Amino acid sequence: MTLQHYLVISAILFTLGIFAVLTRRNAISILMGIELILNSCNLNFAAFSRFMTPPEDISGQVIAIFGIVLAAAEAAVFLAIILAIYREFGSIRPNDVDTLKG
Amino acid sequence: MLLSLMIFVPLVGMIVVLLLPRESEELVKRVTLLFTLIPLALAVALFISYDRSTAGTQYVVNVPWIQAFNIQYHIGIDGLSVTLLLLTALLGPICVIASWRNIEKGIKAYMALFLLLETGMLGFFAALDLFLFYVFFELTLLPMYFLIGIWGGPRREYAAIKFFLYTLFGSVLMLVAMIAVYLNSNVVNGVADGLRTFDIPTLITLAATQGHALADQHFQIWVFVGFFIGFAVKVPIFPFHTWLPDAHVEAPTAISVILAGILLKMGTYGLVRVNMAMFPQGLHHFTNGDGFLGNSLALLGFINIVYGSFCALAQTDFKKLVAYSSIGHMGFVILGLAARNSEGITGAILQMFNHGVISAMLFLLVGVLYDRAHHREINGFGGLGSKMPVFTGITTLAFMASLGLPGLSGFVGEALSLLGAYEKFKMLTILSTIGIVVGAAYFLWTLQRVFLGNLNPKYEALPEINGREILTLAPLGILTIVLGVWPNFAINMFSESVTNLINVLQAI
Amino acid sequence: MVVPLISLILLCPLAAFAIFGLLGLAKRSFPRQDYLSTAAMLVGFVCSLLLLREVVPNPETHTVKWISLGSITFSMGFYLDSVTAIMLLVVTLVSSLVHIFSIGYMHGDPRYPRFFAFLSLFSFSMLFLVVSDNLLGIYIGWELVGLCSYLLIGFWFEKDSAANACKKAFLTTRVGDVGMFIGMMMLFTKFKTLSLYGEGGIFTLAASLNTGDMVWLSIAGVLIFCGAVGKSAQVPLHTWLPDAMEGPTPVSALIHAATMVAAGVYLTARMFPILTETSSLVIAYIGGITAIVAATIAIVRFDIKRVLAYSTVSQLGYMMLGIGVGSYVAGLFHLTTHAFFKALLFLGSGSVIHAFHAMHAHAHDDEHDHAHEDHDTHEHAHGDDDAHGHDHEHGDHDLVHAHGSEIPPDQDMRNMGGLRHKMPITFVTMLIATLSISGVPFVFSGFWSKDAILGGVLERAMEWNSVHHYLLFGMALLAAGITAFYMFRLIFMTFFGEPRNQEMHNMAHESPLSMTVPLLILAVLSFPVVNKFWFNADYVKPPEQPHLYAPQHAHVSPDSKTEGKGFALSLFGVSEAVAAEEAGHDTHVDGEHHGHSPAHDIAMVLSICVAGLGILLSWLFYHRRTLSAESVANSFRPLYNLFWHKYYFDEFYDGVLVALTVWKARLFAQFDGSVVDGIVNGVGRLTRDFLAVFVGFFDNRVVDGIVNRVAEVTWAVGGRIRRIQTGAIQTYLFVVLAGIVLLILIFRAL
Repeated sequence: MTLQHYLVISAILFTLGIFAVLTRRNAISILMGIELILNSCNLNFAAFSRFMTPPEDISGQVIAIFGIVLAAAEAAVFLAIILAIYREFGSIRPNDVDTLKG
Repeated sequence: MLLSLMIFVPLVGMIVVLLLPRESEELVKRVTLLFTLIPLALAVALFISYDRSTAGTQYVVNVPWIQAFNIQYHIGIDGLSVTLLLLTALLGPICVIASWRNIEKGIKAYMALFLLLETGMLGFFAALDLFLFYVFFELTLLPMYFLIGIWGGPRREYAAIKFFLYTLFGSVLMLVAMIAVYLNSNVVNGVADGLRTFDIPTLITLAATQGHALADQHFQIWVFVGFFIGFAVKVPIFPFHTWLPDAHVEAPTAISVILAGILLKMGTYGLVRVNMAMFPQGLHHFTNGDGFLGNSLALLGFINIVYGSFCALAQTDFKKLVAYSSIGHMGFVILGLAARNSEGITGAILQMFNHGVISAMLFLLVGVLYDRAHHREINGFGGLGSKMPVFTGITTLAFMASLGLPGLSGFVGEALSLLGAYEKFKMLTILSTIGIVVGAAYFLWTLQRVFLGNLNPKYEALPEINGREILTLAPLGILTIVLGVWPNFAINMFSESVTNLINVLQAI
Repeated sequence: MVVPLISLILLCPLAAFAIFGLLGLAKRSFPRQDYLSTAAMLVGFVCSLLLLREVVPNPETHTVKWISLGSITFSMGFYLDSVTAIMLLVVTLVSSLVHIFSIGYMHGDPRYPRFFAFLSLFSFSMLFLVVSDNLLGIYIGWELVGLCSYLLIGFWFEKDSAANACKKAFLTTRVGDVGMFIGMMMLFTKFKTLSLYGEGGIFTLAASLNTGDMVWLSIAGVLIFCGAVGKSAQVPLHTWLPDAMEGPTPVSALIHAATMVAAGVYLTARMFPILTETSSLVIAYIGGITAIVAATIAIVRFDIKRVLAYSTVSQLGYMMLGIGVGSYVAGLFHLTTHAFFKALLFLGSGSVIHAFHAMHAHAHDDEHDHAHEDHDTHEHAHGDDDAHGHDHEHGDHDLVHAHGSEIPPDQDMRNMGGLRHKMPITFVTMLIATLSISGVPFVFSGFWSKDAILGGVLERAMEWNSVHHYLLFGMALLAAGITAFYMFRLIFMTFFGEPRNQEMHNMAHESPLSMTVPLLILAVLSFPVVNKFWFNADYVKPPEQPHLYAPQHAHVSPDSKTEGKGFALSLFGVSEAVAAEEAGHDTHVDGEHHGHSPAHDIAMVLSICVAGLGILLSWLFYHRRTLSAESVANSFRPLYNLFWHKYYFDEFYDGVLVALTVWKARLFAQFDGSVVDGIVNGVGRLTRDFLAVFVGFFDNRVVDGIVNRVAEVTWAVGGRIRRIQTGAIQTYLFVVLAGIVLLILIFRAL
């Protein structure tokens, strides 16, 4: 497997994530889309580290692990916000929450 | 260091007073008294340790303050300032004691503002940097405005605003002149070079340097006028005097004392410190005895004397009478300064100090009477002499000192000013002596209307002056007698400084 | 020895006053202020006696620096010569006697201690004036005695008349003092010193002035003399002195007869060396006119104290006249003798008043007005509300005041008469003084001193052949006659004849010992006991007066052969000759005549004649009553009115000068309030109402308009643009994504 394979998979994941974020009408789905995007990034980090740097340099992999941890934390915060929004507005559809509309 | 301590102790006192609880009024008064007694002790120490044999400034502190504009925190004292610092520090505790019972509301704020005022006044007399000088000059304005405007009489707001705007009008002209001096302070022979400065001793030297922009006669004349109007409002010199009677009438007793005792002196002190020392050519232009302009300064002094005295003669409000008499007496200062000789200038400086003491006494006495009778209408009294003999005695002393009775301090200053002025302005000086007669007339007439004759039955039960009031008056009364008998006590403080000043004036 | 003695003389009374002042601050008073003050004065008297021997032969000066300003020094110091010594003696002696007299006279007054304290302060000031060696010191003492005079005239200040009188006295003399101060300024500007004696003193410097400076020096001399005009109550500033009689009688005796008013004469004598011919003539004329004017007014007074007051004014005029004609010694001699006999006359009148008053207070005991109880003593006759007019209202005092011609009944001679039996000591002593002042020859001191002046005037007139001086001699002679007339009028009306007011007469009694003893001592002094000093050329040497003889006078003077000699003579010879003639013969006490000068003989004969005539007329009018004063008065009604109204001086001053001053003051105050302050307020109002409205308009319409336009545009634009803000999170994300894509495309293109 070459770097290209990883990049192609990463691009597919990223595109799916973007698609989900832009099109889904449910906040949870959007969150899932974001997770996809994050994971595509992590994959890229690991791939580039593996193929482009000397084997003893594992900083790409380390950043990927950071990314996973951040994604977990972010998911927790996101879900908390969604919970709060649900309590406030009785819905988790982003289109229903348009208080900031100009 | 001693000097800085003296200036800023009242400021510390203000902070302390502000931190005290509002309810503990006695504590507030005591703390204020303490924080005014410290500067007094320091001033006495300065007065004693001051080296009388030199003309130079002593106790100098000179550290950079705003470096971008080469402004320094430069303070120091010479004979003139140490005398006025002593006066200021002396009147501080006296005014606090005088305010002990008759400030009814907001004593804490009153005392805090008073302490701020004291810092402003002390700083003004010690400042040797023009910018610092101006800052302190304006610093006195703010507390004064509130002290008159909040604790004053029925027309207090009018009086306070008039005072504030009038003084501000003067100081704006002064500011312009000051900036003009600053911008020209590095111009030699038309070429700007080096750092500009606000430093007063440096500027005095520069103004005497051939070819320097500050030494240019036209420049000096214009800047002289700018500063002069600024100080003239404060003195006050006719026709800029009308704020004074209003402010005095409305201000509470202690503030009147400060107003007449110190604030007026700030004007004349400024005239000596800035106008005379820095712009001798400007001064010369207005005092050379040549034509109208050459007599103008002496003419203003003459008008002040005669006009103030006649106006005082017509007053029926006791405080207004004293206020107008102040205008008259400050005329002697102007006349003496215009003479530009050692008798005249010494007389003028002495008159500044003496007037500070005497007018303080007069306003305190009016306050004593007002606290008892609740009015100041001269014609409304009568025969108090038999009811209040001690009060009458002290009033007579103050009146006599004020009308220039020899043996009391008022005479020496007046006599020296006139002696000096006669040398230069014969006719104006002779005419000014009308003021002496009219001065005697209004004081004696007042004495008669208030104290002589039969006792007005309305005041059968008027209590005699009490110990606290005597405490405020006695130091001033003693000073009046001491300086009348032995004026050299004060004169030798500043005689070297005067000699120095005259050398500057004669160098042109 | 001199300095400690003089210091002691000065410090004793000052200490007596200081004790009073300091205790007063603590609202207490020394219980025996009277003894304290009297003792202080007696110490002074003893010291003065000791000093009398110290001054022979040379005057001494002792100075200390008072103010030093660079090159100029004002010093204070003592100058002790024979004149100082005699003056010290006179002042301390009269003052001591007046103190003793007052112990009896003022007894029971609620302000008794204060009275003595003031007397002490006065004595100090007067002595300071006398011993000062420089003009500034003299001026200081000068003003201080003025203050004391003010305080003591107004001692019974509850009386409006007293309150008015003390103010008048202070202000009138101050007018003169200002003149004196201007004179001092002239001298100072010229000589740069105010010291009189010694190398750098004014007299030495003035002696070397040339004739070109004479006009200037004359003006300065006359201006200095102005001070004397005020203090010594010379015309036209004499009006305060009669009013000053409102003070207690001992004060009148000490201040307004013997010492303070004589200070003017003393000053003029001290300034003798710088008096020029012109200024001397002015002084002589003022003195002569004063002598006549005051004497004529005295004729028609009924108030015993006013008669004496005008008599004092008249006698002071005499002294001035003497000094003005160059009879320095004679002027000062008359000052001394006058001090004694006039003090005696006043104290005698005080004794009479006291006698009447004690009765008066008693008779009206039940009518005591309790509001005035605390000051109902002595001649302050509270009981006679009708005469005194308690109708004044508070707050209605004016600087202009009516001159009450009401006379307190205990001072009104029309209530007296026949008192010689009731009050023998007072009568005899007053008679001696009257004989002395009237110039009854040989055995009374007044004769000698008055004659010395008359002789001096006539001598100067003959010597210079000057019309002025003959005229002055005539005036002096006339005044001498009138003096004898009105003084005997006083004696006849008071002590002779039948009692006019029987009730008052019955109550009258001789005064206590403390009052009669001073009278007796002064009576002794009215005999020529002091003449020895004045006629002793070794003791009193008149100073040179280099400027009196201007060169143009030399050829008028019959004595001078040539101009040059005349001038030279003027510098030394004549003034010495004058002195020699007046003072050179110490045998005058015995009544020997001046052999050298016919002028003195003529003057003496004439003065004896007019005095005799005056006494005779007085006897005819007021004792024998063969002539009626009323009918004479009626036939000279306009003249009588003129005298009665005191030449309308008071009316003129009050109606014109004072009114003018007050009017001017009101005008100035109005000007200040309406014009000057009006301009200030006007500028304020203009700024507020006019400028502010204009600026406000500009601000609203233009400045604020622009601001508002900007705001409106912004608002409108914002309204359009805000539609972008949908609030839908996915829209935002889309925009972000689109933006990124766009950026990528752009960067790719680059």
